Amino acid sequence: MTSAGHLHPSYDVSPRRLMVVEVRDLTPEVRHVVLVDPHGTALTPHEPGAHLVVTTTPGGLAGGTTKRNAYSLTGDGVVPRQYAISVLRKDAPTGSGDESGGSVWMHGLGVGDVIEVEGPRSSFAPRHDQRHCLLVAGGIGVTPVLSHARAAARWGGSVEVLYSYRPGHAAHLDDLRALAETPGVSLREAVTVDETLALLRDRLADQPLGTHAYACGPPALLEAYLVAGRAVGWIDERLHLERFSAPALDPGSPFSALIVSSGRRVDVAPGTSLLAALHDAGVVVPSLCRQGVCGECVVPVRSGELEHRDLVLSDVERRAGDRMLSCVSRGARSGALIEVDL
Amino acid sequence: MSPSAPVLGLPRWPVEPEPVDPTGASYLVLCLGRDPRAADVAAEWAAEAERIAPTRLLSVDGIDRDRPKVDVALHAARTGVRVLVAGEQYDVLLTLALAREYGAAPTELQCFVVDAVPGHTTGHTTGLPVYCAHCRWTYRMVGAPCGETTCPGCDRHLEIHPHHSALRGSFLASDARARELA
Repeated sequence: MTSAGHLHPSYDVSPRRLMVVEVRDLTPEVRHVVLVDPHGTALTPHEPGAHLVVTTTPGGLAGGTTKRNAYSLTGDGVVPRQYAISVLRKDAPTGSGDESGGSVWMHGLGVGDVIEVEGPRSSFAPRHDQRHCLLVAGGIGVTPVLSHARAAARWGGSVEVLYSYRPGHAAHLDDLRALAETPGVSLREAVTVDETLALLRDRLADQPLGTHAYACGPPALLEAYLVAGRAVGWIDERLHLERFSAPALDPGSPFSALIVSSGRRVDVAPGTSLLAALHDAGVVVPSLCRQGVCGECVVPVRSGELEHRDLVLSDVERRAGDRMLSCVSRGARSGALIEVDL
Repeated sequence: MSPSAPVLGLPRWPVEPEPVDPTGASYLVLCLGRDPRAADVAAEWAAEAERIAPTRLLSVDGIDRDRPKVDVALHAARTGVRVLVAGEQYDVLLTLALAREYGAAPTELQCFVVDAVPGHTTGHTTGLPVYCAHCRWTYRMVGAPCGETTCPGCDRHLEIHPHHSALRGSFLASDARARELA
């Protein structure tokens, strides 16, 4: 195990190996995987809603591709002896020619397997000044919500959980129902779209002043959550969300990027991302989701008008114009030149 | 502002009452004290807010005397509310701090002060909430940021520092003679 500087190994977040000690099916499509340090060391604590980056090799080590997939940790993050993640299996469409993704590889894990992980990373943390917490989960979006709920229960906070699921496909429903027995924790369930919309409207309209809400789920649920919240006066800074997928984007216009450190100019064609163009030019930018959701590939920008197409940066950050997510965002218009501070 | 000028943490008061934020789902208008201008502003806000969403107008004598009433109103408020506060600077600063304690965000708060000079308050003497670093208590004192006053608790001659704490709602003050040798 590696450790940086003076930090104890149990604060390590760099790539390292963990061992699978438990594999359990929560639903026909969701598998729960529990990881520990092979040497028995305590694992790095994390914020509620944090995720782990797992290196997966769909197709196998021989000839397969290496991917990095982010999975939300379901624990409360306090002095963890183990990390638990729950993975929804997403098969590639038949005949698509696409290799099955990281989730299928994750479903193939067994007890005793050793895998490479990085993190935990926090990008969906609770506000420490919240007076009350409203959690909204849709489908597999329950994983970070469970982490938030467990942390709120541990620290004696008050939390209301809304869980929208298909009957028979509700991962961690038993965990949430057990948590709801804790003082300060309540759970409301919805099993149809109409029920979910009605529940969102009803509960967002009746939360104490100072509540912060956190939602994770499919794009339609998150959109409904934002609409319902804004309709009853919630300001955007109270409506937190984590996306695990993004709508498809058009190919965009061609533009060019000037790399400040080398003076080299990189042309970015329609359908090609700045991230890919930089990679082809030998400039490696760390990336993860490649769909503008995770924020991993952010690059500093010195000048040039931008078309932000990500789902990460706030309006204030966009207006500042000093950074962009290189996987989806582009120059503002055809032929635009931007300076990236790399 | 020149590059060497200190950045002061002072409230900036609007010259005229701002229009009501139309995105609220409910409104709580708090009128503190008996100043007729504060009552007028609160009434105008309440009338404007009522055209948008359910509105409650609460008039009290001051935050010190009627804090329980303000507490009850803020406790009953739901997220989506906009809180509007009118009154003298002392009451408004402490009431805004109380609303923040209840979780109100800056964009959910609006205020109007009847006894302050719009913009920076340096040099303008008025009733202020001042936190005495020696008593470790907040009192109403008459003075101005950068000015001096006497603490009603410990009788020290205090310098009011030009920094307002949004959390406490008060200005920090400490012994103005502390650097002088006895």
